[in-house]
Amino acid sequence: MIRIPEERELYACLQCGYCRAVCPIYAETGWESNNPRGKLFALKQLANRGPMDVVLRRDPKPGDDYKVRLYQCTSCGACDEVCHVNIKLAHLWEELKEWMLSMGYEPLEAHRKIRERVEKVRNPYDEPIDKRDAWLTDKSVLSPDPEVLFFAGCTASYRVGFLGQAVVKILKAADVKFNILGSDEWCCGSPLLRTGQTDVVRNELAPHNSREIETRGVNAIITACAGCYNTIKNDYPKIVGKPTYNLYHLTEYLEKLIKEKRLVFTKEFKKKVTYHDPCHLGRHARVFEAPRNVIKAIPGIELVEMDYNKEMAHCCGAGGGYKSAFNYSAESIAAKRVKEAEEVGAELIITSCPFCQVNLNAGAKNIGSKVKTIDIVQVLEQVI
Amino acid sequence: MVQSEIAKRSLMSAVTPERISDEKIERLVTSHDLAPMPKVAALALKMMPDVVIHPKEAEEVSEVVRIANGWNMPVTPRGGASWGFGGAVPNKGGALLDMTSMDRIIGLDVERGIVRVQPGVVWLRLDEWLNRRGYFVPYYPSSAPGATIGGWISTGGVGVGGYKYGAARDNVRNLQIVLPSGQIINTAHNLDSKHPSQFDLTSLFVGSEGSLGIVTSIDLQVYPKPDVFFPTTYSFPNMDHVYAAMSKISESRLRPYHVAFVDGNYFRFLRAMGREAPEVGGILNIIFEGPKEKVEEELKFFDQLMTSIGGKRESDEIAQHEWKERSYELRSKKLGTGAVIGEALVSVDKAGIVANETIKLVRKMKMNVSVMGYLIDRNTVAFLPFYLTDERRWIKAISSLSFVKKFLDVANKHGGRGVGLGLFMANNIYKMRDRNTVELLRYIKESIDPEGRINGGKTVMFQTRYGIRVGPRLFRFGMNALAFIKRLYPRDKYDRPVPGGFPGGEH
Ligand code: SF4
Ligand code: SF4
Repeated sequence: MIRIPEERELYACLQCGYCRAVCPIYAETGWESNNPRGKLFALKQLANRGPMDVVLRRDPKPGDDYKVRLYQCTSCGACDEVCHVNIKLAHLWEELKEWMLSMGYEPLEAHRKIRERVEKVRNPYDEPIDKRDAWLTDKSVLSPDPEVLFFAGCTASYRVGFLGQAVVKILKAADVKFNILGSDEWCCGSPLLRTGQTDVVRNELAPHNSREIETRGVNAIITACAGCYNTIKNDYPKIVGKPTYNLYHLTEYLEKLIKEKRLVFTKEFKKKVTYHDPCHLGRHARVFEAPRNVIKAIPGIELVEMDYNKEMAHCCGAGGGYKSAFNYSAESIAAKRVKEAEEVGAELIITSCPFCQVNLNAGAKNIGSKVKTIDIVQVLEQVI
Repeated sequence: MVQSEIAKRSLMSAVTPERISDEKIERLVTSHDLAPMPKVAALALKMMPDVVIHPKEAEEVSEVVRIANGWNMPVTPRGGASWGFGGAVPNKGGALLDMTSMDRIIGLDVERGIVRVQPGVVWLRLDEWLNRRGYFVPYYPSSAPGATIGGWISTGGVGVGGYKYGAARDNVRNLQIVLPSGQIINTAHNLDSKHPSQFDLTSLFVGSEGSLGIVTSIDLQVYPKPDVFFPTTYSFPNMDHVYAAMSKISESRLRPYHVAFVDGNYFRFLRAMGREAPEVGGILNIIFEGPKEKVEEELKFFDQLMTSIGGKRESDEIAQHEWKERSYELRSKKLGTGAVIGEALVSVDKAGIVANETIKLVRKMKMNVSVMGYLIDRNTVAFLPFYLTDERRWIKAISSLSFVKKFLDVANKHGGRGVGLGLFMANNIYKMRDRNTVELLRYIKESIDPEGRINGGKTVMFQTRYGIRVGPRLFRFGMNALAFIKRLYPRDKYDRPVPGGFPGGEH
């Protein structure tokens, strides 16, 4: 007999549909089977299987159709936020994906490739491991006796090196002694955890990265990527136990530096901007105020909120492996978010996740919007 | 090819492919509403539709209805499906129109203070949209984060804010409807939408539970946002005090925005879940809104009134929390593995009696119930007992359902009535109306929909999957038998212990 994870939660669900109303995928497709309530109902029928299914000739097995529904999810956690009976839905979706795979279902093609690459070269972009620190041209900025370790993440290391360079510039301006893990840094495992392929993270990535961080003996590590931050903060302790270091999202660290007057902005940034909460930094890791406080500290800037912000911020559409498997739909979700920024008159969207940035810009391009999305560090490097 | 297959094919040719599906998973997940129906019910009711359709415009709905008519195919409109009487659940399969796809807010007529929406818009979204424009919709179901405008209108629309602003019925100015023939009508004209000089067609369709036609657009009266919005909470040593307090409120000349109560069991359920909750006999939440001076006047008046009858004003923080929780009243379902909610309207002066008899009923059926409710006008309380059941054991689950029927009998005995008919409670119509009136209602249904194709076999009669009518006597017999079975079971227990226990389900 099949054992469904968290089976009890299926019965706790009221079928009230609060989650339906906030799910970005449901808003795209409109199908009940795509929304959290529908996914739980279908699974409950499975849990509820019994002699009646034989009488009514019903086949109580999750099929490939159900698997696809599970993967049509950005892991945004909006459903989790509003659930009437507090089901930990975001976690449940991940567990269910893992469960499907454990029963022999194949992951989606795009996700299988990510796994293969991470297993081989420790990043999802199929780039050589020894080029991981190539983004940092001037290694002399690294300190042998660092206050903090900067966990760059795969995307800044291989795809948007300018983000890493901006971080370096800012840390230097605040006189922070830092170092990096270089080729000892492996993918944090976020794309694998979100797509149910957890074993590699449990057995290899998390133990390796934790060990590497801890052997450096630093008190603090910072990351500028929302996905890395959420994974190291929320998933690693479950795998490798309590960390010996403090983890900061870059914005939290900068907020601290600003308060301590170590980081001072010398130039103005005269623009009306809005801040897009990355789901993994906001809803999942509960970092809402730090990025806003950092933005507000920039001279000349005007920060306006979109109608849906912080806990209720709308997803950009990129997360949970959704963009890699369903790019068209992901960009359509992004376009809606860009329109929200337009509605409040923002000239620029600031965010703190490279995936949100890429996807929001793609969405804006599709609808011919002038509103660009840039990372918070790209603004900061202009004002120090 | 069987006829239903051909019918399905012709529907598929009428709607854009991405908005129609006969995939099994889609049909399965649209075969229910809030009521946890045991699988065995599928023997009597074909709750799985044959095809699910997402219309976007009235014309499309009309086309679907015409095609379905040609093939003698039942049509069921479904909104948020967050009620529990089966009104949105097919009983004979057929085409299911998922109206949540019609989710556009068409526009706000600032001159008349009227917003036009498609039926699939969710209440909370509409309120947020209006708030950004300086307006608000003061009446809505407590399930506003999930319920659709069309769905709630079709239930008659009694809920939050009704005490001051009336029910949905009092605020709907026009409905665009696709009739069972496929024709499209408007129930009112701009100028007579509030004071119709002929038949009040709008009222005929509001509360008709989708049995007379399919709502495709709604004009709603909305209001400028109030200057002040202020919730208060009063706790009482027992529920008799709470009911007495409600009587006093309804006698007063002032009208707060909303008056709602929950009993002590509600908080016991919450404590059992590890949440913080006060140890009180019951609480009354009184919410005020309007111009500052008016709110101050009302607050002063009701504060004195509540204190004089033993109420203790809780902190503003608690009051705010209670107000925020208004859409989360069923949190404690987590304790059980199923929940059943009854709903009845009783007169304010009978609330205490109905409550006490409900407790007796609860004891007899060995269940643990929490009661909540609110004032809907000066004379009437909406009474919502809520209990936990075990969906996994179907005999127990289905027999627990009989509680709803038994509870309605108690309400009826004291001049009250149920609110929903839908599929499961259709026979209750005899408790609400006399025989002649039921005949008239059926006549109206049959004149508009002679073949009973749009939500047929519901609301004014109860029909199962083979078109078998179940009369009130047979229904009563069945429900009594189920209540008897429930009594043979030991007292309900929960997977998580309830601190202090439930001494016979007492308040
Ligand atoms: S996590 Fe987001 S995308 Fe996934 S089911 Fe929940 S609301 Fe939908
Ligand atoms: S919000 Fe929670 S309880 Fe309501 S339908 Fe969604 S998962 Fe179920």
